[in-house]
Amino acid sequence: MTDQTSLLSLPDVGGPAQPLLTVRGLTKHFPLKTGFLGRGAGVVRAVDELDFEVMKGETLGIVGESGCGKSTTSRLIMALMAPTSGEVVFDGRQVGSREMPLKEYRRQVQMVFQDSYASLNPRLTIEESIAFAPQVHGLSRGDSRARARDLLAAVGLNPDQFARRYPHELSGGQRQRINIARALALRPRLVLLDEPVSALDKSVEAQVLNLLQDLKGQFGLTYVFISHDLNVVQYMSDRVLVMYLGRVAEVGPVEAIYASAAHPYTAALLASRPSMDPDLRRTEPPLVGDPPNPINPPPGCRFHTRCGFAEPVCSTTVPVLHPAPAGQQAACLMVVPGSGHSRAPGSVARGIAA
Amino acid sequence: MSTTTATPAVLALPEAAPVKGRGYWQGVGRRLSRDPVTLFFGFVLLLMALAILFAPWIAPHDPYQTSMIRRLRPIGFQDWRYPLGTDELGRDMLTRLLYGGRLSWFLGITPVLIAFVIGGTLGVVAGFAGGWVNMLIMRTTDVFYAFPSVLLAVAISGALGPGISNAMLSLTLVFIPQIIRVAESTTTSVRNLDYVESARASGAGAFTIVRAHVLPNVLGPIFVYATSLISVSMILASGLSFLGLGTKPPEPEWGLMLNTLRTAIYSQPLIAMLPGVCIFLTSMCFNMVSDGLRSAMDVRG
Repeated sequence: MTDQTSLLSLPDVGGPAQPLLTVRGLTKHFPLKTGFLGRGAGVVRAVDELDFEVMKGETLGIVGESGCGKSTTSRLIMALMAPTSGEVVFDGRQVGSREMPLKEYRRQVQMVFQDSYASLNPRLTIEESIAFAPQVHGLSRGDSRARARDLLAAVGLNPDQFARRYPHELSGGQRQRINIARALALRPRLVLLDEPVSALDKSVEAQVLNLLQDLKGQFGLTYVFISHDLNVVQYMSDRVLVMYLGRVAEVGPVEAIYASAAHPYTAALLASRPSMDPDLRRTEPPLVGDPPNPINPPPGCRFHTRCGFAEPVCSTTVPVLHPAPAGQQAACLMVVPGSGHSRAPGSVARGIAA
Repeated sequence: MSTTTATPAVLALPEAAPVKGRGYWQGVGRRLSRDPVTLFFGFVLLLMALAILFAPWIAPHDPYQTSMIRRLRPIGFQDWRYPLGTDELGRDMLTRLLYGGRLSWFLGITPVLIAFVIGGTLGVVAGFAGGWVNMLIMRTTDVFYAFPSVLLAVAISGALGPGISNAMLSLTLVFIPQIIRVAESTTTSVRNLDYVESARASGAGAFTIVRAHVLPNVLGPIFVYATSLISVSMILASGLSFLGLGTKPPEPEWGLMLNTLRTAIYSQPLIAMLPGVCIFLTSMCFNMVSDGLRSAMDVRG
C-alpha cells in the first residue's frame, strides 16, 4: 500500500452512541411550473417531514415503490439539492453550519449511483475518475493516482489492467466496482448506495453485494442502502426504513420488519415478493392501483386509499411513528392505543374485528 | 535444454501486461479512417486550402492586371495562358479564383471561429448555471432568432456600412445565437448526468466541474456544429459581397466576382458560373466533412 499522509478518514466525534446521521423534518416540495411564469400551480410533495437516524457502523435499508421519494431523500442527504425545510445533522453537527461546512461534509459522505455508465465521465480514464475527488481536496496528482490504484485493488480489479482504461470498455459490474472505489476515494464515513445493484445481473449483483459487505468492515463504513428489492435489503441491512409517498411508514430492525410487519403497506410489499414455493405463489397482486398523486396526497394516513384495513378515522388523522410490538416503529393507527381505529390496541372493537 | 527448463514458468499464469485503454478520440480517429467519403471530401478541402494558401506562387498572372483586349476569353485551351478564361475586365479567372478563395475562406471561417468562442462560452454558462442566467441568455438569443439569418446579416451589415470587418462582425452576430443554442442544450444534458452530480458531491467547485467534466464532453458536438456553419458563413459572406456590403472591387472575392460577372452571363455563362461553382464546392465539402465528423463522434459505448 502506498503511504498517503494526508486526506485520511476523519475522526469520530460524538462516540458510538451518537447517531452518525440524523434527519429531522426533512421536506422537499418541487414547485410545478405550469402556471404563468411558473407561479401558483401547486407543488409535488416528494419528501414530507422525514425523520430518521443512521447509527454508526450500521446499514440502514430504505425501501419503497418507485416515486416514493427514495432518490430525492438521497440527494437531500448528499446536499445535492436544497431541502424546502428540515435539517441534516452529521455526527452531532448540523450540515452547512460553521462546525460542519459543506466541503468537509462532502469528504465524509459519498454516494454510489444506480446508473454505472452515466456516473462515470466517458472522457476520463478509470484512474482519473477515482483520483478526481482527492485532487479536489488537495491531494497531489501522484498521491491521488496511487490511492486510485490501491482502491482498484480493494474493489477486486487489477490496477494494471484497469487503471488506464475508459468506462465504455468495461462491463456493468466492473463499472459499478469503479463507482464504489470512487466513492471511497475520500475515505468517507457514510456511503449512500442509491440502488447500486438494480441495473446488474443477478450473479454480478451478488458479487457486488459481498464486495460492499467486505469494504464496510475494511474501511469502517456506515451505509444507507436504497433499493426497491426487498431481498437485497434484507440481506444487506441491520435496520430497514419503509417509505410511502415521501413519508416513513415503518422503521425498525430488519428481523422485526420482515417477520412481523406492523404497517399494512409493509405487509403488502412483503407479500408482493415472488415466492420460491409454488404452493405459496399468488396470482392477484397484494396491492392494487398506483400510489396516489404526490401533488395532492390523500388526507390523514396517506396509505388509506389502498389499505385493506382503512376506516373513516384513517382519512382524518395523520398517524405518527409509534412503537409496535416486534420492536419497530410504525406510522399506522392500528398500533396507536386509543387512536379510534377498531384494531388499535385496547380498542373495544378489537376482539370482535379480529 | 534451456527451452525445456523454461516450460514450467510458461505454464504458470503469465503476469498480465498493463492495459492502456483506447480513449474516445482514438475511437473517433479510427472510425474516420474507415469513412472513405469523409476522407475524400477532407482531401479535396485540403487541396483547396493549399491552393489558395500558396496562390502567389501558383497563380500564373497578376489578379489586378486588366486588359481591354483580352476581355472574356472562353474556358479551354485556345489560349493556353488563360485555361479558365478571363473576366469582364480581362483579368485571368484562374488567378482571381485562387486569390479570391483566400478572402472567401477567411470570411467563411473567421466569423464562425469567433462565434464558436463567444457563443460556446455563453451557451455553456447558460446551460450549466441554469435559472435566471439561463433565462437571460436564452431569451436574448430568441430575439436574434426572430429574424431569418440572411436578413439579419444584411440588416446589420447595411447598418454598419460596407467593408470586410463590418461583414465579419455581422456574420459573427448571426452565428453567436445559433451556437449558443447548441452549446446550451448539450451542456444542459451533460449537467444532469450522474458523473457531474458525483463531482458536485465530492465538493468540486463549478469551475473545476466545467473544466474537467463538462467541457471535454460538450466541446466536440459544439465544434462539429460550428464546422457545419462554415459553409453557411461562406455563402452569406458571398451574398453580402454580391450586394456590395462586403468586399469592394477590385478585391478578388468569390461573391463579389459573381456580382461583377453577371454582366457577362449571356456572352460567357460558363465563366460567370465559376465563382459560384467554387462556393458550392467548398461549402459542400465542409458540410460533408462536418457530417462525417458528427457520425464518427456520435457512437456510444
